[in-house]
Amino acid sequence: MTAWDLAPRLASALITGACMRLPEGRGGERAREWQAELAAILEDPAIGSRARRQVRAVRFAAGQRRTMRRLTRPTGAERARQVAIRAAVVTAAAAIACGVAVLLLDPVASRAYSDSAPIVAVEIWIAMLAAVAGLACTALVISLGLARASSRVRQRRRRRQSVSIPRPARPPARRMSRTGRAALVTMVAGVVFLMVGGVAGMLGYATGSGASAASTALSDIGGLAAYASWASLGLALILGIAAIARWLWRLARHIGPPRPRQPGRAPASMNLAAASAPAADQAAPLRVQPEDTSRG
Amino acid sequence: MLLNFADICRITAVRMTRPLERLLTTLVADPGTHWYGYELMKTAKLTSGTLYPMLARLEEQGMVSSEWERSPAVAGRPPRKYYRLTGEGARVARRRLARTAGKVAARPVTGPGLAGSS
Repeated sequence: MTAWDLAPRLASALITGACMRLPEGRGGERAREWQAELAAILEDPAIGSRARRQVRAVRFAAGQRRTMRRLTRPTGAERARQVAIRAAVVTAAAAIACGVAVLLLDPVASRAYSDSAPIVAVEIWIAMLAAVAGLACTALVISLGLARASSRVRQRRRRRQSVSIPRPARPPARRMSRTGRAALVTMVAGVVFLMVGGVAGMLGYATGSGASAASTALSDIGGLAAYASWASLGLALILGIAAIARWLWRLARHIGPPRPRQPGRAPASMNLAAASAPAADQAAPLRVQPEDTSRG
Repeated sequence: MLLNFADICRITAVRMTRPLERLLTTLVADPGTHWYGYELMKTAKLTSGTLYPMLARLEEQGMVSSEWERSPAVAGRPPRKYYRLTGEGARVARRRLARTAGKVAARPVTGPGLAGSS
């Protein structure tokens, strides 16, 4: 794969991702149509350089993807749930980034000449940011869990009252691979475990530091949660690397747009006009564009 | 007959926006022409994300019909989908464009530069 192949493949992948959001039956046809336009843009002699053609193709594909995202965005409770999940992932990532920054700064800060050195203050601030982000992530995860549990209880109650519950609409196809999703879930779980461990450890310390059974139990919980968090974060790192490697491998292996099926009329569901348009509308032959004929 | 009547009723419910106006102007300028999406994008100066949802809506309303290219001009190139105004679509588009042009012409011209000119 050369550098010139990267942009067409990226554009093709964007279009495939955009069409995955469409209902079954429509996505395939739209993908064929847009991949054909992509091929035309990449060979358009009216656009001067190859680089500009590639940029135009990526812009075309990105526009389709953006619009499909906007048009197929869920609404109501499902939208709120998705926003909360995204916020949990972002805050978990922020907590990890701040934590890593603290670990990197720590050797420098420990060599500072005094506790009032600016580097020590910076380290403390970043550590506080990490804690705030981690706690926010934990709060979001807990609220998501509570919302899920309450909706299940409500569903069960309705079932007992034999009220017919309409099935929720099937969400669009998932865009992220299972490995990627697993990486994000383990990352969030790692941060939540770390926060739980931290809070349990602090509570154990506050209640007497091993003097009572409660403080010992809290310290043990803290220790276990800390081990679980390190295991989760390690697993998240491995899964994240695997997901990125898989995505790059698929991008490199993707030779071009999928081979179109036999050309023919669009399905009846997509072409209501064909049934009602006058016959004269259909009779005119297709005009071949001048730029098409000039291509080799 | 009933189907045609229903289609006409649906067609009249087109809400005119600036991008739609540009698209219809392009299509009405040469109603017999088959256009492909990229060509429409360039001519009407619309982005891909704006054009295709509009085309899909117009197609559902029966104003535009689409057809797959039967034999691509260049071997190996995937066939394209071509769009064109239907007969009824052209009539409705002309009417709507004329109405929009009338509204624009009837709008009072006001502005700081024109305040003292009358």
